[in-house]
Amino acid sequence: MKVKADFAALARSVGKPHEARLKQLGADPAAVNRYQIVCLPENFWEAKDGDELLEAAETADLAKLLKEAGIQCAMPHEVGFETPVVVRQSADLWCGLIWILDKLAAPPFVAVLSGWLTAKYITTKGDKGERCPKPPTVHVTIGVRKYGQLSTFQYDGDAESLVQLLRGLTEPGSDSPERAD
Amino acid sequence: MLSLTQFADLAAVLTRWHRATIWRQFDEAQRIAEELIVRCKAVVRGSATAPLPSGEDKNGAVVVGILARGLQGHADVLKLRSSPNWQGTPEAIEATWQALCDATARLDYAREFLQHPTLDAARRDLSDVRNEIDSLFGPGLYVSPVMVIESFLCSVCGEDHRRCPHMVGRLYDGVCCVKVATRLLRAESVDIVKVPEDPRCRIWPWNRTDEPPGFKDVCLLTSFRLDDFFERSAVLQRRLCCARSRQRAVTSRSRRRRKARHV
Repeated sequence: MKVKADFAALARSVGKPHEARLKQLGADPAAVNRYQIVCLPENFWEAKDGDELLEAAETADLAKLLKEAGIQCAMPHEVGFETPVVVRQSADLWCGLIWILDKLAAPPFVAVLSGWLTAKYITTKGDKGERCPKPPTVHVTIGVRKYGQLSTFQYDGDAESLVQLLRGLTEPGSDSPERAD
Repeated sequence: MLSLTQFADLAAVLTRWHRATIWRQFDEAQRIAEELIVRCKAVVRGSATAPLPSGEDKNGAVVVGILARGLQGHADVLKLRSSPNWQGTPEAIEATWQALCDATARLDYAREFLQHPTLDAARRDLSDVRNEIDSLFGPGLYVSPVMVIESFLCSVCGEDHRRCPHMVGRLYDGVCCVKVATRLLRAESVDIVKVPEDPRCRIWPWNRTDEPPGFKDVCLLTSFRLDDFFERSAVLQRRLCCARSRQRAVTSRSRRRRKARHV
């Protein structure tokens, strides 16, 4: 019985490297799993240890909007990461790493993100009459939980395509994220 | 969220301002905007009317104040542009550009709350000036510093912005929520970008050099705030003072350590 239990634990840790990484950086995976969406430091996978973690400047703004929309969303400090903030004075948006852990939160997440990007784009660019060399780029890594595992994709591109991509992912009938465990 | 009961005559004031700019009476246009700013300050401070203004009244006054400051800047831009040979000196171009960026940011913010043909016309004027500058110097390149800071403070409550409920750009009892960077931990790099967060940090042809990094005397950071004509909130002022004195303490401690090591 004991051997079986060990195998199960091993299988779980192999299948969930994100949980192993959370533990490695000093966060509690159980605390993370309580949320529908978790915003994490942008160099979550690259940092050598917890002291090297950095939070993107826009992470908190997006997380606050998600909370306002009624989504149970955690910011890095709420899951145990006390990180400094990296500020880039560019019109590009750096949103860090976002995990969608509950499929119910995916459609409102897309709605909030879409509204936020539109507002941000309009206020950044002002009047349409102005020349705009190129639209600002959105840099975000989104992890979607499916069948207990986290599939992650990194996106560096324009806001419109990101919203379309996410809408496709969260439409009913698509291979949408699920609430695991 | 926003009340303009204190500014019932706003449309008439805007029309008067617009007429002054059309007749190129820029000093008169600036005076009209200044009068509006004085009224806004009085509402925000609570000294305008007998019953104390509500939070919504104060929010309305902040938006009108930002608008008035934008209109003042607009008049500045047109005044600079109307001077003969305004494109002749780098100083004149840079001054026009700064005024243009400030006025554009303020008008864009105000237009999210207020609608009036004057505002659309003013915004079009600014776009024309920008297009004129771009046609002379191209769309431009900008510097964009990348920094790591300890945190952002909220301008409304003075707390770490990640921990408070206030949203950037929204108005709370007459205070516009902005993130104020505190304690620079390190500067990572200075990037050159086509689409900047702050267009004031533009690299002009006269800033270019043959030696690395390829430019000099370029503005890296600005302290622009939409509502910087109002006093800072007392809480934030206190917090910033604390942050500064903490930084001073750390600096003097490390100096003492270096001195001791040297001895």
